[in-house]
Amino acid sequence: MKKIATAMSVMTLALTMQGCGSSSSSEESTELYSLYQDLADNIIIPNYQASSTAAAGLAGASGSIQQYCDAIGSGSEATALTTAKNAWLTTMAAWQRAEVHKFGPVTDDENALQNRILPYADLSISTCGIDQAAVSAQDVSFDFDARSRNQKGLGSIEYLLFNTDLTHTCPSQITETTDWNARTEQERKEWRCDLARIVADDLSSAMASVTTEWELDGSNYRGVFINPEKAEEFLTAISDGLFYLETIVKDKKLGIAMGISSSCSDFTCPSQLESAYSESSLANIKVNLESFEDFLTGNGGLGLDSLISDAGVPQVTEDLLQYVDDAITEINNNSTSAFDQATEIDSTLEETECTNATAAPDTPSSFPACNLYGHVKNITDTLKSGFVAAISQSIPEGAQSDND
Amino acid sequence: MKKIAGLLALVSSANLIAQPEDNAKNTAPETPRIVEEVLVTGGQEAIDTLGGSAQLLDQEVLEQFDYTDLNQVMSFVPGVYVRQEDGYGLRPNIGIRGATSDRSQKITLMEDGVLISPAPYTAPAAYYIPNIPRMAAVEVIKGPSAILHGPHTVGGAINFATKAIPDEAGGEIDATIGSDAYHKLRVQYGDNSEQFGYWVEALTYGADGFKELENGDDTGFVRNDLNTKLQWRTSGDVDMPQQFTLKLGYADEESDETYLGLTDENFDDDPYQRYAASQLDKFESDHSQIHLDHVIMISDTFKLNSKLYWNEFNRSWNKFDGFIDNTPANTVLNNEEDYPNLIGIIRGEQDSTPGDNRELIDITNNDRTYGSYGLQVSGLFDIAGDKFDQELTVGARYHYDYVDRYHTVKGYRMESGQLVDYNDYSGLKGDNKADTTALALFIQDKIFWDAWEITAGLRYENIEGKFEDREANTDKDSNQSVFMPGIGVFWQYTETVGLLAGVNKGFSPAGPGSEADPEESINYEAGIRYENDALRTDVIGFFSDYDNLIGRCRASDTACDVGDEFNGDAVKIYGVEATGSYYIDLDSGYSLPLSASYTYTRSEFQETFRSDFSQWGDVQEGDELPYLPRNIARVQAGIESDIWQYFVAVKYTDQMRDVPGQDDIREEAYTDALTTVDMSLSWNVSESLLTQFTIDNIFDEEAVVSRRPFGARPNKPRSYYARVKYTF
Repeated sequence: MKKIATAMSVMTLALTMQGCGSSSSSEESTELYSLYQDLADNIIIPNYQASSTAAAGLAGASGSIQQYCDAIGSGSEATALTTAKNAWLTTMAAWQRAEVHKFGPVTDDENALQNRILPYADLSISTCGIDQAAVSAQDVSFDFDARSRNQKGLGSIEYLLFNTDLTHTCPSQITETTDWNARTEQERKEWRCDLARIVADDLSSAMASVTTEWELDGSNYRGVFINPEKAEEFLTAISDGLFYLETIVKDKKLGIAMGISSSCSDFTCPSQLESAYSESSLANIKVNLESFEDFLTGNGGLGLDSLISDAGVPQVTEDLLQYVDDAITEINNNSTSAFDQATEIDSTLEETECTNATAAPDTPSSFPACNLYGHVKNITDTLKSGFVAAISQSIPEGAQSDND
Repeated sequence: MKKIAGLLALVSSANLIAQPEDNAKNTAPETPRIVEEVLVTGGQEAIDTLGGSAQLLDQEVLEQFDYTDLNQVMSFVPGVYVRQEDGYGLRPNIGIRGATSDRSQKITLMEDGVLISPAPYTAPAAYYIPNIPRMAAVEVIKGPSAILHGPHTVGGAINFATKAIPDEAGGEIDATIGSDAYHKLRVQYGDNSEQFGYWVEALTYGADGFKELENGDDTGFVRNDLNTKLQWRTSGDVDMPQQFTLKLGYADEESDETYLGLTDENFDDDPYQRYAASQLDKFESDHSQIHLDHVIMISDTFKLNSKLYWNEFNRSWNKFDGFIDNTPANTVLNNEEDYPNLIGIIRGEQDSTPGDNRELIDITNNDRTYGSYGLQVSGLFDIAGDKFDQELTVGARYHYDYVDRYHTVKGYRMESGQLVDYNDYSGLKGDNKADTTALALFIQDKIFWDAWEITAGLRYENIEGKFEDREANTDKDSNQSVFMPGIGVFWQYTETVGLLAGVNKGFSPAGPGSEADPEESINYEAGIRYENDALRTDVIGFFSDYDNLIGRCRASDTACDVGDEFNGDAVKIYGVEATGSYYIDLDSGYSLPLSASYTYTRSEFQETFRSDFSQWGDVQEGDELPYLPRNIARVQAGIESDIWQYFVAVKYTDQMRDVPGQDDIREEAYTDALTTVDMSLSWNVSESLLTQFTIDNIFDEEAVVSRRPFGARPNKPRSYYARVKYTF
């Protein structure tokens, strides 16, 4: 991940632009304490609360997954599945907002909570592992906590709910699944649903933990976040968090999946898409972009645009907002899922069209996801130049010496 | 022109600054005594024609209210700003003409002309200041005259003049009791013979404190001070009379002082409560000094004065310093709605959660040793000319000082209102040593021509600093050299009216290894003096044009490390200071002495910047400096006779910003404007027995006098004192 520290060199350019760090702006500069209060109260905590509420609707004995489990084999099965899928989509959308502020409790203990919610940034789900777990979960001694992180979280539930192929994905030597395909369709649905319920319960618990950690009447991590002693640390964390658009959205969700990145050795790598089973990859990206926009504009409170303005480069905010708008418009105007687009690219000709679309995102192409890559790149290029330099100026300067 | 020979006087040097002439003891020894070099201004007569601003508070003034708090004493002097902190002035915050008042770190502090701050170059924050009760006079020097007394010349200098050895055997027993178990006992005795003289003084004073802890512990202090002077001088009519004065001193302090104040809401409920989190806070220190002063009259027109000095100061301050995870106390106090658990823990109303460092109270012991030694030599030449006379001072000082810090921290849980150590956390907060070697050269020429007195001077400082961080195993060196010129002109326009003007370069060095620039300014002043038999007044305008103002992080500041220095860039400070005294003789054995001082000050940052220094934070061009009141004033009236003296003083300090700003000050964090009235009534029961009754803050005014270090701090409430002084 791009660290703000490594981008400090860019600051030199901005400082030069701004006259050695001193702005002649007569407008009041932003109080960091108030900014952090607003970011916590208007964006971060509401995002976690919304995620937690959505997950609670998915999990538990009265949650939509359990209702679907109960309905399997009945006349209401399809409706219950749709309800569960929608609840999952709601939860995923809520969490996608939180993906751009990955710091604090969610990343403690080597991302322990993040791994229980959505480990996509680090690894893809193991469908075979999940298939094995679906069998093992029928045993009363099943210990979900001991399962690998690639079998947990929203990705796992998505596979269990949205994957219509009930055939297991394990090699033949895996003993747990040797008789899986021979089981009845209803039994396989029930076993997958049972596991989905277990995963959802764990997901809900993890999201509730994150929320409680932040809330004032919980562990009040908010107090740590707004602590002036940590202003610089969190400014770096916020900036690093926003680079989620670069490292995950652009490079992984779009770059690898659409074959734009060299990390994909085929024409495309649709298996690397986030939410490929639900075909909500682009919807996720849209939410990521909206959340990024919230950080910029403050979502009703102070936002990072105030720091950018303090640095004397409000054009950076205007450019970012324009590029975000272009990207969201691209998503809104497109009705083909990223998965379908990726699978359509299977020749050099189509690959070239995609590459051209990334370089000229405003020119319509057959692959809007490739255009979207270009729009997101415009955002991240601006992040790396003007934004980082402007934010860096907000890190108070001090000269180390000794005296008291 | 004042001849040096005049300094070789048959009158007691103590009488020059201490007693009215009619009270002087006319029993001088046969050998003429050389005046002890305790004053740096040359006395009131020299000040009257000084091409710059200076004030002398002699013992007569100091006795009027018998203040032990230097902050109170400084209220007599215009252009001096005080930020109260503990109510007793244990660690005064004094600034001059806008130089920051924080721990008096931007002014040169001296005792008998010797640098007396613990480490004036390396760590100028004055955690030690001489006790006022053992002083015969206090001098404040501003403007061009201040360049004689570096290293800090941006604001000025304060010199504490100790009592001189008496001419004959005699002593005093001076005892005071007062509110909150205040007690002061001072015993002094001295004698003089043909060639030898000595003086010894013991002082102890303290109080239980006017703040209250829930557990009933004291919040006061005790200070002890033992000093002696031994003097030898040549006898008879020698060609070059000379005098050695050896001064030895030891002082210690134990005070239950804290950095922790209150939230505004709690302050409104009871400004004198103290939170449970401060119950372990204790300051302990000891100070030792050896000063050897030598004066030799090489001729009638050439005097050489040498001062060899050594000082050591040890202190430890074990005190509340926020929370182990670094949540600053100020942040919690100012935003209690954001930290409901932490404010509850600070108050002792809520227990800490075991295992949660966020709720573990940080009790830090800032243990430090300071030291300084040096040799200062100055020669004073009287040069008589056909058209004008000159008084030339040439001098040099070699100085070394250091600070050795070992700061440790322990984590305490709050349990049922008590701080409990479960060995949850302990660590090191700082382990370093810094030192400075400085060579100062100075020259000043006073030219007396007709009705003009022109004072021109130049000071040079070469400062080599070293900072060793033992924790990080790193070293940093720094070297600063600076020339500080200054010139002042006084013109005796008429017999009663004089005009003065001056300009000098102000300088305050950056600390050893600092990457900050030194503090530099050009200081201008101009004014008028008027003096007749009854009225003495002066009005002086000043303008300090700072090229760079330094902010220095103390342990109480947030988001910076102790000792960090911050450039404040250009700052302009300007204002007017005025003093006046009027003496009405009632022809009935009584007289009415009236006096007043007033200072008006404005300041403006010249740049917009964001500073990690919590006292500045976000600074906009045009913002006023924090803790610089626009208006301060003192008006004093009295009625006195040989038997009775009654004085009443009204002191006013305008509200002060807690942070820089330029909007209506009431919309921002600020300290309250405060008007207090003090009175004293003295009765000379006999020639040897004095009784005195004083009341500080008669109307018991309560105000937030500071929001530093952590939260709102109160002034001292109404306090009564009764004193008896027996002279023998």
